[in-house]
Amino acid sequence: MKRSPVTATPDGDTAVNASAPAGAAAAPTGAPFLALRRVNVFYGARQALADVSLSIDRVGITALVGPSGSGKTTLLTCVNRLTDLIPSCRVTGAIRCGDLDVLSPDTDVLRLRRRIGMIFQKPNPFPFSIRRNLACPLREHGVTDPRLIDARLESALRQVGLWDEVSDRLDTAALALSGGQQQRLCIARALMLSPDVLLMDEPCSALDPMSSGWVEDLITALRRQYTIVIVTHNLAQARRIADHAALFWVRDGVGRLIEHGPAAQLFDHPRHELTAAYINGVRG
Amino acid sequence: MALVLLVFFAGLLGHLLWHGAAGLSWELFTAPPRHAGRDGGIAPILVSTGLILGVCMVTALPFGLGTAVLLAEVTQRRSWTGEFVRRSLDTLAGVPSIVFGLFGNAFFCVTLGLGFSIMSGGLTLACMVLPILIRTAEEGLRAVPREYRLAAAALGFSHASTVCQLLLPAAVPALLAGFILGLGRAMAETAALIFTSGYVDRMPASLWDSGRALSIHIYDLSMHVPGGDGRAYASALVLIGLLLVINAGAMWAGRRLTAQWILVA
Repeated sequence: MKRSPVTATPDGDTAVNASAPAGAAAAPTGAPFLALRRVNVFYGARQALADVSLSIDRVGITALVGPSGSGKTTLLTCVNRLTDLIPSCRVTGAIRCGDLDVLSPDTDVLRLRRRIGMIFQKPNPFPFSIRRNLACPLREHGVTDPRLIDARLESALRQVGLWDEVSDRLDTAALALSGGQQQRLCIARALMLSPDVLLMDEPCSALDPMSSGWVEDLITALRRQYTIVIVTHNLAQARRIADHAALFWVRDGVGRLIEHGPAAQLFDHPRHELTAAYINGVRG
Repeated sequence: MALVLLVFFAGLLGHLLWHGAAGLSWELFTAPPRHAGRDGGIAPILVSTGLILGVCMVTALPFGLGTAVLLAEVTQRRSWTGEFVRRSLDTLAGVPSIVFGLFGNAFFCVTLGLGFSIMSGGLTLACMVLPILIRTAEEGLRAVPREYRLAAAALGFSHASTVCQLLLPAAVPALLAGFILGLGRAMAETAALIFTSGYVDRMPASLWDSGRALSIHIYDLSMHVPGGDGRAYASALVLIGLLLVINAGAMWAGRRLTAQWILVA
């Protein structure tokens, strides 16, 4: 899969741009890779997310922050259409990922999910061996050459820094790994499919501080190659790793995007009073 | 409570051993019955029992697994169809086996023209064990953590692949438990087989021959053959022994599969 050129400056400021509905944030440097327009999500009659518009460039980290229930995770699951798994869930608006119209009924969802990897809050390796965990996504998508699978497997494990730890026990149970190792394995599993986008739903929150640090370093290392959208409740972490950030809030029981822009701006000079209150720990 | 059960089971086993151990011999397993079963062995009965169970499981497993996947993965949990099928299965699981016997006789023996045969008996037993098999398999599939399904979906697995590559292997222990329950019930069945597989104690030459199952043999010896008690106890001991062997074998297979195939391979 051909990647678009990396456009980020060393501090990553221009890598990702988020365009706000009401006068917030910086302007995009080019056509956004991931573009959400007026996205609304409903669970039955209840609206969970209202009118979210967000543009994200090809590489870099965008952190979604905000209190629980403000629709951050829901937004992630709209992007890879995991919302399809919830019968009562309805998504309106438009989401484009590269050349794909995500919400179109004609879109091949399996192909879409191949391009958009997702990491969950709790590490969820399959109850198989490490090798099978990594090989099964490739096999599912038609890659059967064992040499190719082994090469990709080594490359993915090296990318997440697990190769030296597990190369001599690839055929042992993945569930025997530590929590942090399991989460890195899950990231490697997502990388096996060479995705363009990585959606991360609080990937460090279920880990101990040490493992959390390793996973955070890994995410930072991946920022130059992938479009990373991360949900986090850890504001310090968001400040450390994000190129761009977006604050979500609950108003009238509905999640809304309040402000988004370069992380430095959002954390140091927030435009919205809610953002300032949340960042300073006054609210949220 | 557990102790009471243990004492009860030990008492049952002790009683059988006390009365039946003397009848255990090489001849019991290799010779045909003589003098209406008072002497000789139970070789043809063991073969018939094996064949009936074989027909039963070969038929019931694919149907059972297929229906369980349909209920757990295709129909919505609270959908009308799913609920209807589930209620029907639960009711069927409680239907007395003699009713299954009469149904098997009317449908397999008469309507389908299979007559009193091992095939009729096996198919009737399959109908009988299907509810247990389906419900345990369905629960097993449902018990697979939701995280696995989400992970598979996020990796672009099709629903069919998720079921075949992930859910079924992950549910193997539950599927085996259902298989053992079903097999145990089928093996101990008497009433459903009297009307379907018959009670001829000759060595069967094909699945279309009539054949006497072990449980029917025990029933026949103890009820209709004066002086047949010794062989009846010995046969009962063999039946219990077989059940224990199958249970232990399935548990071993389950542990081995879980440890080596599912978690590791």
